[in-house]
Amino acid sequence: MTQELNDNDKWLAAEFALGALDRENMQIAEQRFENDPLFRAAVDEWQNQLTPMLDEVPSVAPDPKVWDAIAASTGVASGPKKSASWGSRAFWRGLAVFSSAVALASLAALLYLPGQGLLTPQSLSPLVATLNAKGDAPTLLASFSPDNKTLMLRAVLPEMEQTKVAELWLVPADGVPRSLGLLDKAAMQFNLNNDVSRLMSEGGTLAISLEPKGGSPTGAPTGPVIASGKLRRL
Amino acid sequence: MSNPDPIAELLSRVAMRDQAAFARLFDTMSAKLFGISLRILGNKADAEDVLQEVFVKIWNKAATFQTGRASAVAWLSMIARNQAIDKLRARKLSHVDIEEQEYLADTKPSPEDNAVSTNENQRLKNCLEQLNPDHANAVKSTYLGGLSYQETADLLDIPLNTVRTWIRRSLISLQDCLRK
Repeated sequence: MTQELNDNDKWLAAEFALGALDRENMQIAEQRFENDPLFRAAVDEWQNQLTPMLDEVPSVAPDPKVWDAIAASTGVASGPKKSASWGSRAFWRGLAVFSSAVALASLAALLYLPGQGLLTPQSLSPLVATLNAKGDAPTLLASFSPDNKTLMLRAVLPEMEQTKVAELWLVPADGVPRSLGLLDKAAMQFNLNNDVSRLMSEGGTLAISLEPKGGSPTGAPTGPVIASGKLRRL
Repeated sequence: MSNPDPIAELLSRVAMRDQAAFARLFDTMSAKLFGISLRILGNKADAEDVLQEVFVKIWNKAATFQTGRASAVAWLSMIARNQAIDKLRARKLSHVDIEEQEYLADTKPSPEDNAVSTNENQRLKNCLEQLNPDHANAVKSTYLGGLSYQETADLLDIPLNTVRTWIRRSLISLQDCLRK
């Protein structure tokens, strides 16, 4: 592999970033962008340099029906948004409260199942999350007690291929996923170390991805994410 | 990271299939990306189609953002521009008459529009001002309007090779200027 692009490729990258290519060359460049890291780096550098020009372009709010179409083709829940006043902060705050009420109801069931004793009543302000897959019933209920740095899980894992395992991730405020471990039983307990415990905070996301046996080989999720949910203060 | 880019953070959650983050990303960025598509396509219905394709792409490809070097806004804008340009070129191939700028936003950029980049914007503006005005115009028509070399040549009524030379020379000057 060469360490530097030749002049033709450098111009292809620059003109791709600028948008000056005809359709045929644009498709060639798009392929290169997806498969050649060196080419992509050159394009990315140009994008970063040229993007400020877009400040000249006025923003125009799209018709709400566009979101409905996007939600329909991605399988993302669109329901509540349809009736919302567009971009209303109050609406989103309302939705957050509603979601946590749903999470609380699920967690009440998790925490106070007779004889389970998952959390002792005197534990202060645990963090909780319900992990859903595309609007289905919760795949996993999680609660984290800052007192003893213990993450309790109750999971209903889908049927998996023999060669795959489910790995649990924390995506904290910095956006970099941290592995919390592999899921293999119906009810689980993770004792988190101090570094990871510190990153467990409200607004962080827990997610489960499918990985090769033994867990992700790279330290970052490599397989599809089958469920995710946000941490909330109970 | 002490001060993470909020858009990049939303993108990494979208990569984890976080639906609320995806909805919030749409709330935050759709007007900007719709404006970009509209500028290139000049037609509301086409720009809406493109915006939909763009967000489906974002949902499916969010994980690839982290493997590159582009800023979150640059990455999102590129998807929107490329999708709009592709539609523009496809439309021209099918020989459909285009109503020039059928839909033009009559609004000026709002203060929020400028929030996307401030220092970088000023630096690029200064560098563009140092170019020959005709050359700067060719760069802007190409980048903002999604015009190919041939279309810019037609628009400015100059030969294709002249456009290519102007733009390539401008890009080299811009890069030198921005690196100073």
